Amino acid sequence: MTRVFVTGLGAVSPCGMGVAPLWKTARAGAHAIRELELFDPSDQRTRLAGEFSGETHAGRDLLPAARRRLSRTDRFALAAAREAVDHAGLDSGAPWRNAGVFFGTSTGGMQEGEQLYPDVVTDARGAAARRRFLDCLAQPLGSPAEAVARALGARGPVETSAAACAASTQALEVALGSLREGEVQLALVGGADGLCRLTYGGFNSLRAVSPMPSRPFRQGREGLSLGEGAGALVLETEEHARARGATPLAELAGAGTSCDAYHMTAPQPEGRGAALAMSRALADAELSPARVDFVNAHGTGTPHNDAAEWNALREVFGERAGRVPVTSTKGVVGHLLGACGALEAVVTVLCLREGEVHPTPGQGEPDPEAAVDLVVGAPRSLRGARVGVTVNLAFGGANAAAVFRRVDVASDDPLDDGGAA
Amino acid sequence: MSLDVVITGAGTVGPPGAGLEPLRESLREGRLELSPVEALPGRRPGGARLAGRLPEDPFQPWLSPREARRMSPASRMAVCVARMAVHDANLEKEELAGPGLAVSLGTAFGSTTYTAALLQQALDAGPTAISPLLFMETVANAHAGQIALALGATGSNLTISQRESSGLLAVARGADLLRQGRAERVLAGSVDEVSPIQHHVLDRVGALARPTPQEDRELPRVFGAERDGFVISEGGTVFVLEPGDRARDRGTPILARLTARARAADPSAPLGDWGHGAEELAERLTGELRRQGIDLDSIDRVVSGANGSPRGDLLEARVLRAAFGNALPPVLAPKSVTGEYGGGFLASALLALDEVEWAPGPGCAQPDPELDLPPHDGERLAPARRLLLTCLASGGSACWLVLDREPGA
Amino acid sequence: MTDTETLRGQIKQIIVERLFIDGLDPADIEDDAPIGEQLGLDSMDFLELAVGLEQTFKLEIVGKGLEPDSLRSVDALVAFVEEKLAEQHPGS
Repeated sequence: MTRVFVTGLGAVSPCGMGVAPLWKTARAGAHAIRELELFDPSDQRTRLAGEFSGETHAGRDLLPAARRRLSRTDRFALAAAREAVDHAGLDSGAPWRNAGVFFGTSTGGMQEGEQLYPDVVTDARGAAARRRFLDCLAQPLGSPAEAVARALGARGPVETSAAACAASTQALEVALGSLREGEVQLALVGGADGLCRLTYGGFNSLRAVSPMPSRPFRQGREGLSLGEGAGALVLETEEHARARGATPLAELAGAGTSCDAYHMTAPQPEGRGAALAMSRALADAELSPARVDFVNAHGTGTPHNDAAEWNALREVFGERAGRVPVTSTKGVVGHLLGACGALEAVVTVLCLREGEVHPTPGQGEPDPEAAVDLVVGAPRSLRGARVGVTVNLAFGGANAAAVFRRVDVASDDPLDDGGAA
Repeated sequence: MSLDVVITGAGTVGPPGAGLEPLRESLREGRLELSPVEALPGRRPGGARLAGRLPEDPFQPWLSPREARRMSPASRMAVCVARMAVHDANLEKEELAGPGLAVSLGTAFGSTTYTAALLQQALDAGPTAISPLLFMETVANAHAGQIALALGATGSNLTISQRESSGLLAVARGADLLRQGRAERVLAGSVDEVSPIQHHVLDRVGALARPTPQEDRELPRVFGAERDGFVISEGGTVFVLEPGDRARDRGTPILARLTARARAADPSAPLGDWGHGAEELAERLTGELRRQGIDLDSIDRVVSGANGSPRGDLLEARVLRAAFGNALPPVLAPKSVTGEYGGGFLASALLALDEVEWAPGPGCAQPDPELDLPPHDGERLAPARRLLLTCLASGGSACWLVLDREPGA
Repeated sequence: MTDTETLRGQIKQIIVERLFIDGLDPADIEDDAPIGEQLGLDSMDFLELAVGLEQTFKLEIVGKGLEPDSLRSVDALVAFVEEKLAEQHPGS
């Protein structure tokens, strides 16, 4: 079967522009969840979020009118994609003639669209109102993928997964299929989401948010912190990578998806759906659970999610479950919704590259109901680590998991891991 | 592409009603069913006023009021058509439910009705007034999630949102799940609502057809000289997809075979509009089909996703001409009757495999000569062996499906 | 002081409207029987009810909202709201 490599990484996160500040913050055991400034959280249950502040400089090469139409989410997508493409040593244009763009998002341009709403219902007049209607062009969820395809000149499939918190991990599965089949040889896979009042208010109404920065897997955890940003990965077939002398960063070895079919917002408490997604991903990678060196959990920090996820890990890893190192990037940047899959995939690849798993921030005792082997305090060195799994569980019960395998830097060959057991 | 994927059941609701037969009648008569959309304060004189709406509650007997209680209209439609499709495929929930059953649903906008209701709550009383029940239905994958709940589908659950191509992409991806061994059966299709706010915004950005002095209602003039935009419809369609061998083993009628698909993008497309990359799109279509062993001259009918948009129809015409040259088969344009979004287009594709005697839609009286595309004039066509279903979306994404009549069907 | 019966009527109205229970006459909701069972409600519905009570009576319901176990019936909800009103809006 055609192997698929990761050859570029990009990120925009509450830690700042790029992969570097994200990794630095994560290694340091710090988090980037602060008082929200983008809009007034008023008297909601939390005032915190992982907010990106600064300039993305996205769409620099566009005409001003087109640049203005980009939503916040589009800008994140473009900035992360640009970094990944540069990292991969590719230009836009010719290399992308037959390449695909596979994205995940849950809000699209809602941050702009929700501000239009009062104008719509009150018949506001004038140039500002007219402009805002045109802002709605970027509202549909397909927009970030289109913006990236436009920027790259990509002519292959453009497809957006709207599976909420599992969206960009599902995009990984979709891209993997297209690459293995030979529909494309090259793909940009990513996820992007921007904070917006609707989503912020919605999670508050569910009482799913924490008044303090979220503390995944800790006893007494109160909920999640919302975040925003984007992750992007350049994926290419082994043949395509070798032909152009590209350095693989990791192999996307497998992916799997499932659905809880249990409840629209609460996870199935025994984590059966999550376990199925992970098992499918491992089977797809032709790897047994015994070969997994660490897990980048969904780990939102809500009481239900982390407990269900622990149960899922127990089902997949059996009696070894309590010894598989686990981390949650959401403790660092918050829950990036549709973007979390891609961003957490980026972090998973970084962990493999660096041979260490970043700690999960947050104080507190371990929770016996969610008794994962949580990496805390300092990065845990995992020399020789070869396989990392990232998993995401969404509203509506959709689950997705992806398996990344280390590629030996010196030889560019996937490490022989002794064969799948 | 060794595993053949077939459609064994179809469920649909739309302006003509529930099921394929009302739609077949509308297509045969070229009848567009339009109803008024509630006006928002900013509606301009001369702006679009109509859309394809569902008739009175079409959900019986597929969805009880108790189940439907918390569902958005999109979720109701989704569950309803999924159950219809399962019934049509001669399957029972008990034998279907489980990890082998996947869902792949396309939606361009999700539940705009509930999104608008949430925004109104926040406007009236601040963000703490937001309703959790409404919120959970505004996530675009809620509708696929409701299908999964209703049918016990614990397999893959995909929601694709890519404007007008959402539905075709979802069906194509559903077929991929089967071919990749990631599912045993897939419920694949599309669903979209019509809401006052969505209608209003689309009109304000110039996407919709408008009433004219001659004709006091808006019409989708697909491939027409006077085309000025599309008309939107609500509704949904779901197909049951399964491996051909399985369908044949259990002796259920095969409605169509999903033989191939192609996906592409036109990066020249500006935001929310169509571009000019016809040659490249045609090249990709031809190349992709060839890679799957399909020659374009085996296609004896085109079911076009053209919807009456000025640039969209032009691009579509150019792509078809570039791909087929002078050997262009009859081109049907069902969106002149079904409107855009909803499930009408997917459902009409199945009907297009049969003997077809579709009167041109009311907007199609005057074809645009510049398009060099003679749209079908209503002449009777024999059952097709193979058709090409096309959809070029605004913003650049493109998807094509090849549907074959099952031999002996 | 808010009349208890007025309160009861308002709470039943909130139940019917916010939980989308079309066609249910508020008068048909039994006062002392658990509403979860009467009406087929789950935890999401109780979250919704909490928002409805907060908005209508200008209350703050902290933590996880209405604990379904302790607030099973209309009677219990009436008592809960009266208590909160006394705490949060004394003299109203």
